[in-house]
Amino acid sequence: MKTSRVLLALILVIIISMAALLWFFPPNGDFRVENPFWNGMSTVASKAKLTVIDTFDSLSSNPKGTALLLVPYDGFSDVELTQLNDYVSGGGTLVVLDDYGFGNQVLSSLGLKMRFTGEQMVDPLFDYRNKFIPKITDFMATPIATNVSSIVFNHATCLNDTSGSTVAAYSSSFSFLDVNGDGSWDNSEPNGPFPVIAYAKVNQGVVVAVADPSLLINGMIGLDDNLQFVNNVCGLQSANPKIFVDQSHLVKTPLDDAKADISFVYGVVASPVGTLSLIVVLLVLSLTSMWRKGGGFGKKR
Amino acid sequence: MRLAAVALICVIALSFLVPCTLVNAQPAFVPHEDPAAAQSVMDSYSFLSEYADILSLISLEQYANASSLTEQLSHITVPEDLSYVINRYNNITQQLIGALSDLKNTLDRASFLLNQNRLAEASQALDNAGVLVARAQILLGELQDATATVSQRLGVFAAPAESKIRQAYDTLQGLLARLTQLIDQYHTLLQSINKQAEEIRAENLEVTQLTLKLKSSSVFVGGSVEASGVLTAGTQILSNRIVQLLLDGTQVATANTDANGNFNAVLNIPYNYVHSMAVQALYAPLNGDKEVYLAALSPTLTINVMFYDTKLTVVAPTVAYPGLVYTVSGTVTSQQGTPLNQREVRVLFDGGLTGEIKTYSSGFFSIQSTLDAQTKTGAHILTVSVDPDGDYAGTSQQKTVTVAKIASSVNVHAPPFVFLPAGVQIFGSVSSSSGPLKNAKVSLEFANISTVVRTLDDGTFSSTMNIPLSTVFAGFQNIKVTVEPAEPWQASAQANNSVFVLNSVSIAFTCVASFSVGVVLYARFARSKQKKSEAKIVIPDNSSAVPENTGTFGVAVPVKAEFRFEGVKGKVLEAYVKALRAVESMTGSVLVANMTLREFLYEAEPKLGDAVSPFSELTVLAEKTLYSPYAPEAQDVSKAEEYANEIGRMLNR
Repeated sequence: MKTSRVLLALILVIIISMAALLWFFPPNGDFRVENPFWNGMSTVASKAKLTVIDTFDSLSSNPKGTALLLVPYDGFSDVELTQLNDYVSGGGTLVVLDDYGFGNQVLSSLGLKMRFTGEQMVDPLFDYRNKFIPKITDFMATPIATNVSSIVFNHATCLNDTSGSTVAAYSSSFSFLDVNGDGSWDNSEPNGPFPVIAYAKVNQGVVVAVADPSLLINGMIGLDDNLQFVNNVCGLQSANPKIFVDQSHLVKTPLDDAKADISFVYGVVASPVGTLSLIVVLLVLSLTSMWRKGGGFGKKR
Repeated sequence: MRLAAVALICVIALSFLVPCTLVNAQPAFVPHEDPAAAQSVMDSYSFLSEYADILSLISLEQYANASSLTEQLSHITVPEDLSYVINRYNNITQQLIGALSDLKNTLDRASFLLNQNRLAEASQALDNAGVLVARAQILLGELQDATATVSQRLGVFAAPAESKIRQAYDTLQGLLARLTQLIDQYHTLLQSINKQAEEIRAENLEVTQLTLKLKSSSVFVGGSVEASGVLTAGTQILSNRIVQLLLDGTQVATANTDANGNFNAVLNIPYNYVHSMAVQALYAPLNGDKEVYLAALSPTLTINVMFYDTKLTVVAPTVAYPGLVYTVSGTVTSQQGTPLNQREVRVLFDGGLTGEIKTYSSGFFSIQSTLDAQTKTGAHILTVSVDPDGDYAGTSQQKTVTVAKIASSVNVHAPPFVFLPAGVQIFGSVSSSSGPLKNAKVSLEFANISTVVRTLDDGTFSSTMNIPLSTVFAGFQNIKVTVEPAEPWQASAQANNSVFVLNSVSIAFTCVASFSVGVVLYARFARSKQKKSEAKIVIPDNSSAVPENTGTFGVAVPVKAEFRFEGVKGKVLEAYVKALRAVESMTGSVLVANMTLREFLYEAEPKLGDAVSPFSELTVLAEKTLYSPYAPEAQDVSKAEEYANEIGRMLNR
């Protein structure tokens, strides 16, 4: 065999192997339900039986008895905002978990006053290990607080303009907004307690704003009562709801893009046309070489 | 070349691995950190600042606020190595707040008692205040020591003098000094009140006596009892003085003494369904009497408060279903079993009022409520309470009600075998113990295709799912059927059904692939077989190899074998073999396995006649072709064919 052929075969093998590796390597992006690492959501997905959706078209036409967990780290189109509005108006429970993303776009489109401040809230005393992982212990008497005594946030923010909403939980009075990012309180920086969880009725549905999505990740869901809290929030309107989780507004990693590309190729190959094309290519490749060598089957004898 | 190839392979491999390690830019702030890897850090500055706030509140005598803040701080998360010291510090602070608060209240009470000339009680309070002052001083000393220890552990002393943490520490020290002053103030106040008590004692005020009698020692709740007594000062009768009547320490009535020092009052017993109450009479001198008399407190009398207990019997379901009516019934009677009419009964489900009714004359009540359709399954608390009414106390009972859903069952029928693409008809029925479930939502999922249908009135459903070609090759695939009944009290159900699926494209692909592989293998096998045969008898044109036994003619020629001849050499040998067949046929000599061509020539020579010469020439040519490096040419082929033809002609004559 010529060296060039060996090289070609080797490259082909490496490409296929690497593609397989990428295919089977778990996603490592934040909040991905397939991500089994600390920053993924595989644990809550299995424990709370989440149904993943990549487009709001997948939302039920009858949203009653369902809840949608939304981590808005990417912007929304007008069509998507309309779909969310329809979902909530139809009786769904929309849980917007945001800190520094596009949650305000959703709240604004739903006509709600409350907003995510987008400033980092730290709590130097009520925390898990350090001030950037604050504990929330001050719960109001709402269904969200059932069997929940404390939850843990991770690099969270807080809410403001909650006058038209029901505040379900506040940060401790020791918390403050680290506006200048120096990690310590300065005179000009607002201090707590801040509202961190609030909900409001929108037509037949409910919108819940939670000032940190990180409580959903694998490294956090087992801390304190985070999982119970998620169940309570989703069950705000109905017991045992079907819970959707949106994955289309997350930041994509190169691995996600690579997987999407491979998935596309796989989809093309797996389609009837693709499969037939592959058959033809394989046949041509396997038979052409024979044809060249022997000048035809019959003449070899 | 090799290096370039290795480099290329490395680049390809690395380019594939990059996506596994790179993460795109995130939002403005870090969205989170790994909590398991997060370093446990105590914010010393915040800790000291908050305690400075607490001490500041204490120094301002805002003990309730200080206590509340301290209680909050008792829940802060601290590193394990600091937890004991911090918890102890918090505990001492809380104790100090308690001691100072008690001290303040005790001093206030002592002062109040002295103002009423209640010297004995005031003295007792002052003794208690003395103990509390000493205790506060001890606790403050401990707190100062603990502050030093905690500050050292928090690294305060290692921090620069102008740092925030040092400033917080200095503030804390300043506040501790203020607390010392506060305790000194209390001490001074105690001394002052003690001095006041001594002054009152030195005035030798007249001791007064107050007796108390109750007309009845037992009274029904809501009823009244007459109290009377006499106020005297030694042998002197004190008339026209105000006597307070206290019920469990609370003033409930007053009375003026008459000319004989007697007083009478009616005590109205409140509707507190307790079995006993303490009654006292108090005389506190007013105005000019304060310069003459000490206060008097009667002995404590106990009054038995009577009421009837209410007996409640409740019949409630142990299991309730969301959206369905449940009935709570029962009877309300006296302990003796007398039915109680018109008693207000309330039913609360998890604390929320769901119904109220008044009992019938038989004491019976029955309340029907519809359980909220959204009620979560599991254990819930049902409370039935009867309000108190007159002489009858109230009562309540709690029952645990399990909210459950009625089990639903689903039967699914699907073809056992599907050849994709195909329309798969799936049908079945949904029922429960109450009968068929109509209008239930049936979700069918099969091979990434899903559809939803509703059950008919008889609980049946049917759907045809058009399953397109998919990546499924062959094997059992699951049909998942999920049923969500329209009635909230019915539980959802799920069923799975296995279907053997064959994909036509995959099968075709496999067949074609197998066929092509078969063809390739067959072709390869055929060529390989041919090569093996040629290796034995055919010398290719370009072969320059000479067998080792060239000189000895030791090559065995499988004369009876089928030969294939290729090229010029092959044609020469073909001619020889043709001649050989003719010779063997005519002479009866056979070229055996261990015989050389020349040996065969010698054996057949006597029988060949005229054909000896051409056969000899042909044998030599064949040997030369087989065993020498000589490459025969076209003329040799012609020659060999001529020899063969000539031999044939001669032998056939």
